[in-house]
Amino acid sequence: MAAKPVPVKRDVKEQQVPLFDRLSPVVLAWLIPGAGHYYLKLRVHAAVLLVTIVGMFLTGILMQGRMFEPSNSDLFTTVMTYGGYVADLCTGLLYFLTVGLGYYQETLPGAVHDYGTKFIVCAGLLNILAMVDAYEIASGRKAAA
Amino acid sequence: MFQPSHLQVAILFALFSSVVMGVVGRSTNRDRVSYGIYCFVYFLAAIFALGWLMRLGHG
Repeated sequence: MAAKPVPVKRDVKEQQVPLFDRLSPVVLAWLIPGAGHYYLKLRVHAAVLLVTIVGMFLTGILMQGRMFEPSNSDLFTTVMTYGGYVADLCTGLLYFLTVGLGYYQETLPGAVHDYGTKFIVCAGLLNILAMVDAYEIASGRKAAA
Repeated sequence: MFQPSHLQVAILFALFSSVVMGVVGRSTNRDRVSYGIYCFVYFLAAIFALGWLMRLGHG
């Protein structure tokens, strides 16, 4: 009779890292793109992420992209505006600074403004990737090299 | 206002995305660079392929 396979505990290493140490790089990465990696002493990665994500966000602003605001109407609009709003929020302080300084853009005709809106959203989505990466490194799931 | 063309926007998007995907997608610096270049090249290939497909589709 074949031996019963022993289940592998994959998250043992992760559980050894305190929750605060796992989550603080994520919060920092959310607030300032690249800050999570900087906290983890990955300075070059942090600089590259900062320049890239802030660059994408600023390119979107230069193209007069619009910030999403949550809106409840039909299903498509609701999903799109809430999704866009969450992605905008994921740029962290960039979003709060921009909105706090009074940046507001109406929906304008022309493709360039729409590209700008998408660039701002994608900056937030790329920052989510950076946050996930910071979490994986902090929790020991991924090697920091 | 910054008024890039559609192609310039697509290339900028490909560049930014590839850099971030390269940094977070692999574990060693050598792999990061090669994965970033790989993503960028595939983005460009997709841009040109879909661009031509749409042009040919429109007639």
